Parts: sequence; structure tokens; C-alpha cells
Amino acid sequence: MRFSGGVWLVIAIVVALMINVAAQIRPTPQAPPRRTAPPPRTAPPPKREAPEPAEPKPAPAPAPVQAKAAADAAPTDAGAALYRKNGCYECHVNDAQGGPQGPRLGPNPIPFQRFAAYVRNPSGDMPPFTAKVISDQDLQSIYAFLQSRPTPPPVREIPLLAP
Amino acid sequence: MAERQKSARKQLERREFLQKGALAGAAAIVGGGAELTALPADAAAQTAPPALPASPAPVVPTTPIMTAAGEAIGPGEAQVIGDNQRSGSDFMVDVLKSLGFEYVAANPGSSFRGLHESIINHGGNRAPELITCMHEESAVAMAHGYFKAEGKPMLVAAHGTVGLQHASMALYNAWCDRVPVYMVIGNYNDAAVRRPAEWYHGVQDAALMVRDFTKWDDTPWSLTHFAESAVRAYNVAVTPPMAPVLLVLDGILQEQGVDAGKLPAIPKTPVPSAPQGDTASVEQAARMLVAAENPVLVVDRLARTPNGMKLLVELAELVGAGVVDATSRMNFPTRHPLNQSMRAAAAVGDADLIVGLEVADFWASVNTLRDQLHRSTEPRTKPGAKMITITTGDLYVRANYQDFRRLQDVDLAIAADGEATLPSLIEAVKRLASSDRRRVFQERATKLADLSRVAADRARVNASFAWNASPVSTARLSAELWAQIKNEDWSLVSSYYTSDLGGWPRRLWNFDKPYQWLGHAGGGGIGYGAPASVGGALANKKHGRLSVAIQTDGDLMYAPGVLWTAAHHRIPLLSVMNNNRAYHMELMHVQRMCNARNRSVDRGAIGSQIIDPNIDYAKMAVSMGVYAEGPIDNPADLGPALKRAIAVVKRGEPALVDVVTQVR
Repeated sequence: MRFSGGVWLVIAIVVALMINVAAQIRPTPQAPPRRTAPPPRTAPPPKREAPEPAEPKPAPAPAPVQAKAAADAAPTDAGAALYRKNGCYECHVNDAQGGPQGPRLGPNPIPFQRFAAYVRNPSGDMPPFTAKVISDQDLQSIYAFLQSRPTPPPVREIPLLAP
Repeated sequence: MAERQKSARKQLERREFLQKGALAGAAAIVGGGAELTALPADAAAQTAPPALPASPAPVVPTTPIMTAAGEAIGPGEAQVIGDNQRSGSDFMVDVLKSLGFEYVAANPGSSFRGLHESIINHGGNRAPELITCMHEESAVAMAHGYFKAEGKPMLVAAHGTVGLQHASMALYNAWCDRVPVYMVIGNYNDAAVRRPAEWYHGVQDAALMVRDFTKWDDTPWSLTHFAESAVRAYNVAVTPPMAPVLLVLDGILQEQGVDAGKLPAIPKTPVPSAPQGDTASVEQAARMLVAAENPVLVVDRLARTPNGMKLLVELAELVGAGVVDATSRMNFPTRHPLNQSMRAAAAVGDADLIVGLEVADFWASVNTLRDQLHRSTEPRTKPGAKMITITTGDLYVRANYQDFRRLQDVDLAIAADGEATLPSLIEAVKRLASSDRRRVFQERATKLADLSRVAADRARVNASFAWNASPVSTARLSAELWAQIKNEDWSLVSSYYTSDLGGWPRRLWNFDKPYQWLGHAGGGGIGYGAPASVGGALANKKHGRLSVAIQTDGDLMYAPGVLWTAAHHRIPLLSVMNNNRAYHMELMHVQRMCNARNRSVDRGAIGSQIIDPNIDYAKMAVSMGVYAEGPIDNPADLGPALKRAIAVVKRGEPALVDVVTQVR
């Protein structure tokens, strides 16, 4: 499928809106958060950490699907709810930052096709999520949530993380 | 009555003497002939001439065997112990004092009322001082935490049967963690004297229920028996492999009076030394270490004493070996350039020699197990990697409880205490290492230092994600806490598996003193963290250390009354709640089952969350006299709250800050 320039513009606006919405969502229903100021948007993306045990397998399909997946995704608040409802947060933690049981998923997630393939048939300790329990559409919403995770401030700007 | 007993015993001893003397005389006459020895003893006694003197065998003065009946002042109408008498439990306190106990943690129980009173009045409630606990499990877990901070056992006293049942989980944790807890319980052994309620607590074999996970127990029948068993129990408990011990104190033995002039002696047997590896095996291990191109030292319960960490640093620096710390003890400084714990899988995978030093689960250090519907395992090591283990685990394996883990093929297994064996291993390596090899060691150390620096940098980057999120990220909590304590003489007294915030403190903080990390629960029984932290803080109190606990919510709710104990005894401790409002580890297990069964993955949290209503831990702590703040879910509020709480702790009191955290 090919998109015209206008369609790309619409996609970009939708993605931007999704990121903005995601920045305001509440990660846990039990504990209404009081977010502090969002991190600066000018911050460079962090380095990707080294592959962790549940690093997805390489996907056979090419990557361009990623843009379409983002464009087709449900709003990220729905993705956030699905991320929580289906238990993704249990290992990958509330903001998808990763923890002892699961690696960081966002921001800058792996291409959607690889992400979806791994969710369906994981090779590490992650339990499988079949299409019976999570639809492809819900996976896309979750993926949009992952994409929308805020980029943290650079470590050098966080005095508490000084060596 | 007493005179009658004395008289009867004299007659008995005389009869025994005459019998033995007669037998000796007969043997002398017949020259030890077969005819005589074939006779039954009675017949031999009858056959022997009764009037022959016992010579030439010399009569050696012997100490008469003192039984409880012999020790006791006879029964009568007397209701009060006389001035020249002592209760049995007074003597027991004398013996316990000789063992150097500072504290006795106890929830009161009538079966040890005699001992309780003796501790207060005869012992003056000093060394040991009673620490009032609200659950026997809390008392034992306090002793568990205390030992790991102080390096010596704490005494625990408990009611027989019901108290011991409450205590059993904590004893199991201590046993799995190879920590000596010295426990005494009461029991009225003689059924004829039991009051009605004592029948519910009376038991034939009181220690039976915990015998599978205590190293030794005994039920003394006299004060002489008690004195020996009390000293023996201490030595058994603290000799590696260490583990809890239990003494059952008869209620009557505690309460009855004894003549102050007849008290038994208190044994002064020294604590045996720890077993060291044999010379040949240690030499072989040293040769393998010197020859290895990429050795790694995997350590777990290695550092029994403060010297353990020094020795491990010396060995690691000597051979330029990476160290992977499985963290059951404070084994190795977290920021030492050779610490490879943040890249443990890679370090083990790269190694051509893995040396396991007191590793509880060596198999899991060198293999992975995939927890899927069909489980599978895979080695972490490269083909041909050699392995050595040095552990007291090889000296102590029990049948029922399976804490011994899977059996790993190794090239050399030394059944000995790791710390006690390190000096000879170090000396052997020094002898064997040529200058060429020492250059190789140095180059290797430089590379490992680079790798550990990269891992530390990556940890800081990882910590920055969700930095401003609410609930508070566990990395943020850890960093905020570190900022407040890093210039103090601090001690992290409790950390239960993931309650160390996914390892964040060990990744972000500079642990370099033996008391700064007290390891884990041992047996995986939740409810250890809160009381163990109070026990650790109690040990730290006299040293003036700032004790800090990262306290999980589920763990605290097993027996939150330990907060009252901390307040009552003015035990300075900062408890920072890692309140993720769930038994989250179990939640993940149920989720895994939903996935494996391919159904309703959105229902996995049912039964494992602690919500609706949320527990207000600050109010709960305040109700027990503990300064508290929270719940805090805005990370920006955390630093100031911690600062205020630390000011309270520095005044000598406990404080709690409830932080609502992300799930991991």
C-alpha cells in the first residue's frame, strides 16, 4: 500500500496526539498519579540496553509495517488499558521500562512485526499470548502505548544518578 | 524426702561398687578365663567370693551422676524458694549468660514462665534483655536478621507447641539460610503435673515438628543435662554449616528449687573451628585458578565474618578474576572493578573456570531453567568449562526438605567452609603464580574493570526510564534513598528478593562494608523482611549505624506488630515501603498459568492484589507509635519525606515512609 503525502501528515498528527495523550494517562487504576513535569522533548533517545533474556526473535517480514501499525492503532489510552489488563505490566512494569522479569519495551519499541511475532511465540521466559486471548488489533493498541512512552531525561541531567 | 532420696542413692552406689569390685576381684583370680566371662552377670556375682577385697584395682573418686531428682529439693508444702535455694531457671539464665546472648526475643508463654521470671529478676533483664515480640515468627526472624548484622546468635524463647508452630516458618527460613538461631521452648514433660491448659501445649516430642530443619535439639532432664546441652547447642549452631538449634525446657525443671550449693558447673567448651579444605584439594584448586584464562568466582553465603569480604577481595585481585555475587551475604563490594554481578550471565558464559564458594544453588548459577508448560534447561557455560565448588553444603544434607538443589557435575568438590579455606587457597595461588601469569591476571583485571564500568553506566540509563512516573519507579525510590543515606554509616537491613527493588540498591549504591547488606530470607517464606529488619537494626543500634529497610507491603502484613516492637524498644530503623499493592511475584505465576491454558489472561491478578481498600501503612505505623508519612506516589515528594524520617531515626526511634511504587 502506498500513502499520499496528505495521509502521512495525518498519520504524523495522530501519532503526536497519541504521545500527548499517553503522557497524561494513569498507569495504575488503584493509585491515581500526580505526574510531575514531563521530561524535556528535546532529550535524545537513550541507548538501547543490551539484549535481555526475552529479546524477541528476528522477524521474517520487513519493517515498513511499523508505520501502518502505528497509524491503525487505537488511541494509546486504550493501549495503556490493554497493557495493564492483559498483564504486560506485571513483568515489563507500569511504564514499560522493564524490570527483573522482563526487558524494557518502550519508547522506541522493536518493529511491530517482530513484536507481534514474539508475543505470539516467545523464545524466552515470557508466556505466550495467542490470538485467542489478545487480538491483533489489541496488540496494535498496546504497541502504540509502547511507542508513546516518554523519553527520560539524559542521565547526566539527573543528579541522583551521578556515579 | 530428700534425705530418703540421698540415702537410697548411697545404697544404690554402694551396691554398684560392691558388684563392680566383686567382678574385678573374680576376674583377677581366674585370669580372665572364658568360663567366667561366659556367665551371666548375676551368676558371676554370685559365683565370685563376696568377701574378697577390690584390690589391686585403685578406687578412683567419681562424680556422681546428677539427675533431676537428685538436684531437686524435695516436694513439700513450701510455697516460696528459700534464701539458700535457686530455681532451676535461675541456673539456666546463668548458663545462657555464659554464652553471651545480648537479647532474648520472645512472645510470652506460660510454659517458660519460670525462665521468663529468671531473665527479668535473676538476670536483671540484661544480657540477655527481653525483647517483647507480637508473634513467634517475628521473634525468630528478628534473631535471623540480628545474626547477619552482628555475627552472633540471638536467643529466642517461645511457648511449647503453639509458640513453636508459630515460629516454625521463620526457623525454616533461618535453616535454609544456614543462620544459627538459638531457641528454647517450654513444655511440661510430666503429664501428672499439668494444669488443664497445659494439656493443649504438652507434647511427647516437642522438637519433632521442626527437627527436619533444625541442626540439633534436646530435652534436658536435669540441670546438669541442661548445662551440657545448652553449651553443646551453641557450639553446634555456630559451627559451619550453621543452623538453628532448639532446647525444650521442662516446666518443672525451670520452676523447682535447687540447693544453691549444689548447682552444676557450667561447661566451658570452646566453639570448634570451621572445617578447612584439605591441602591436596586446595593445591589442585589453586593450580586450576592459576592456569585458567578466564576464571570467575561465584559467591553466595561465603562471608561469614567481616574477614570474608577482605579475603575474597584479596583472592579476586590476586588472580584478576571476576566475581559474581549471588548476594546471600555481603561478599564483595558492589563497585569493585572486578564485580561482574550486573553482567552475571555473560561472565559465567565467558568463563573457562567457575569457582563456586558457598553457593546455595550452584546448578542454577551455571544453568537456566525455562519455566514454560514444558520445562527445559540449558547450560549457561561454554563447552569444556571447568568447575570447582567449596562449600559446607557437602557436609550437611537432609532428606525431607529439598533445599540442596540439583546436583551439578563439577571437576573438584571441596567439602569445607569457604571462608576458612580462602587463606590457604590464597597462599597456594601466590606460590604457584609465575610473573608471566601475574601479568595475564593484571591484563584480565583491566578488561573486567571496563566491562563492569559499562554495566554500571547501563544500569544508570535503565534507572532513568519512568524517572518521573507515578507510582514511583523502584529505581527512583532507590536513588532518592541513596541520596539521603550515602554520607551516613548506613546498613540496608532487609531486602527480600525483589524487595531490593529489582536489585536497584546493589546496582546504584556503594556497598563496601560487611554490615551494609544482610542477604535474603533463605527459605522464601514471606514475612521475613519486617522482623529481620528490626533484628538487624537492633544489632546496629549499639554501633550507631543508620539502619534502613526497603519494606514490601505483603511481607509487612504477615505480622505488622513488629513495628510496635521497634517503637517499644526504641530501635532506630527507617522502613521505606515498596508498596506495589500486590503479592506481585505470585500474581505473575498465576498470569503464567492463564497464558499456558490460553484463557482469560486479564484475570491473572485476581487473588494476588492488596487493593480495595488500599492499606494505609502510615496510619498503621502511627497507631503503633512509629513516626510515619505517606502514602507518597509523587516522586518529587519522596526526598523531603525521607529526610524528615531520617531525622527521627537519628533520634533513636523507628520511622516509616509509605511509598506507592511501580510493580517492579
